[in-house]
Amino acid sequence: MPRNLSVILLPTSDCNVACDYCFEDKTSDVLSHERLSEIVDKVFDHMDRRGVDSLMIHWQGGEIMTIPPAWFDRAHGLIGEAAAKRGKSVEHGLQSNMIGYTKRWNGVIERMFGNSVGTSMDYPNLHRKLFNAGPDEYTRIWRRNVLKAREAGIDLQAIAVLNQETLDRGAESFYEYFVDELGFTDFQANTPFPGGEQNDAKRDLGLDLDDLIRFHVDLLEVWVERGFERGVRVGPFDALLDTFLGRPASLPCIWQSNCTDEFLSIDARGSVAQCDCWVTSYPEYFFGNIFEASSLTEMLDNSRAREKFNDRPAVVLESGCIECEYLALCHGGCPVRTFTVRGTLFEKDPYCGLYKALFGGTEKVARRIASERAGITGVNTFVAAAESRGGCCSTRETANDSALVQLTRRSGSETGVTWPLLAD
Amino acid sequence: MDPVINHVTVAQLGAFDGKPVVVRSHSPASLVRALAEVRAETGGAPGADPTRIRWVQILSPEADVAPLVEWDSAAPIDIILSAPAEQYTELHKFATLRDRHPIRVTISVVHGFKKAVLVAAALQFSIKLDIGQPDAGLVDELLEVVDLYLHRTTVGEPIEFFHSALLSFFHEEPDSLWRIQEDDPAVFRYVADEADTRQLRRTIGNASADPSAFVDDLGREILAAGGECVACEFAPMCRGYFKVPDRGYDCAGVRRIFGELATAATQLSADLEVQAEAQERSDAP
Repeated sequence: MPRNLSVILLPTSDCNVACDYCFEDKTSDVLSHERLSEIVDKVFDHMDRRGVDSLMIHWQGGEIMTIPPAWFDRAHGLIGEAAAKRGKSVEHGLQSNMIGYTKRWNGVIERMFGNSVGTSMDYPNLHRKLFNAGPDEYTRIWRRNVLKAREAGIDLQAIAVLNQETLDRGAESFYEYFVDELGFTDFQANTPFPGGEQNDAKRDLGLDLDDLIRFHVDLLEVWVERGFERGVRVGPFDALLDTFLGRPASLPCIWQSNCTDEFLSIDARGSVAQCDCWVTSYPEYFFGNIFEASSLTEMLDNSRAREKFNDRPAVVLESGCIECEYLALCHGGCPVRTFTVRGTLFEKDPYCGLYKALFGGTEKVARRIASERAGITGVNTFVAAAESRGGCCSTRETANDSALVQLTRRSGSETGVTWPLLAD
Repeated sequence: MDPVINHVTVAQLGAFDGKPVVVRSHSPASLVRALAEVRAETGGAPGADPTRIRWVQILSPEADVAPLVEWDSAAPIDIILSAPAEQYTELHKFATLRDRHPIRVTISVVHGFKKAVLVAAALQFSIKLDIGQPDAGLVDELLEVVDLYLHRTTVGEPIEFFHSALLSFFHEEPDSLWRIQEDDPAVFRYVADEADTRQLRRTIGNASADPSAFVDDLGREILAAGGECVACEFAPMCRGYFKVPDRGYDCAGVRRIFGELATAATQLSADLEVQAEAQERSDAP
């Protein structure tokens, strides 16, 4: 169990828009403050059992802004009081489609969410729709509200789900739309997956892998050239580049060694599952109900569904993952992407080919940056030795090599022995 | 501080009161229970006598990890894989302990051990290779792991003995392979129980020797007998490590491993010099 627990909390499954590819089963449930307190108490009990002191709550829906801002102010107070009593620290993150945003939200966004909101938009928008209007009107309102929020000093990050037209228009247009046209300095490209009830839009979500790879490789180049050293972050490249450059990095949840170690999701009815997609779409994969269970820890420990998630990383090793040079970064990929495409948890992520291309491309850029910073040109004997054995290295790369990374980052003892408590 | 670290079982713990120990058990549950009792005896304060329990060893990675998940301790955990080609699938469940405990995986160098290295490295666990006298096939597998250690950018934790050997060559300060491998009886005393003689292979038959002089005595004895150690450039680090238990073992394969690490250290030094010169040039007014 990490020192931080993340909970994706869905206080409502109600939504104010009608996107074609949404994976959620919408309901009108809204969490009461009494039940919120019950959830928080049981989560804190679980954290006590596992020796975890800090909690990150990612507030999502449904659509979060279908609940009044005052509800969040009260929730913030309740959680804060409970945390103070229990000696826990709690942070809050907000994900909203921004369609219902008005300036009434500014206060709580500042007080509770650090003046920061994650939102989402596609380029071009094909699938995000209002109940009574299509993608163009959706985009118009979203854009207006994003600009208003930014004027109010709110920092916005965006998630874009890629579609075939995104790939056809190319990475440069995509980058220009978010950075130059809308002024985002932090956004990420997500791959689509057909979660929840099937429909025509979801059946058409599949993208050509070669096109997808080409798009990502181009986007990486565009970002490195235009944004990397100018404060623009584009996911997942930014975290990957940090990783390859030996900096602290937080890779996306799809690439965790086991996402059950990192987070869980709870909806307004008290259902507990792995993440928002599971809790809104797949009751057979619920871990249990937090209102019915006397202990969240025991519910998690005894859940057959959760056991499958825990078993998955070891099982997918046999799908070729164990021989993959990027196993440490991907661990077989995202369970929900796998399940929605393959119908089972026990295969590797269907975007494996894309991930490998992303890792390889970003690693190459990291080598180039490291070499330039190190002032190294010409032939690297260290690398040449690897190449002569059919090793992996193709450019001069000392400043990014495993051995050097370890020498500079991991060697607690200059005398050699690195296992804790031996060097004294 | 007592320089000797005793490797003991849970049952033997009471006989080593106050002494530095590594505690081993097949059962995480009994390990956690025994250490809780020790803590209660030493006043109950978390972290009481922190230097005494140097680390714990889990001898059966198949065992239920749940007691460790709720264990109120930050003690380092060493997971012992004696059959790594089969047991590598057990490693993921220990990943949940990473934030609270330093984790190391000690992997027996037997055929197919590389699978366990790949998984342990991917999970960012430290690795120690428990190495005997490897045959040609194992030397090839070890060379693949050396390459992984030196060149795979996603490997971020040490793989021993490669890491300490590389540092030793890099700093031109000979280290002892016996110490690196925790096999020097001057520092590590393995208190066997009847069922487990795993770590005795290099000292068995030498029980009457003075533990504090064991490595020096053995080194002198091997050098006096002549043979390949006399002219071996890696003898100052190895000190006969690979000549035990079979004194006739041909070290050609392990010399290739040392050679790879020594060459890498030389090249790394050269590259860092180039880097430093480039830095000086860029810093110049």
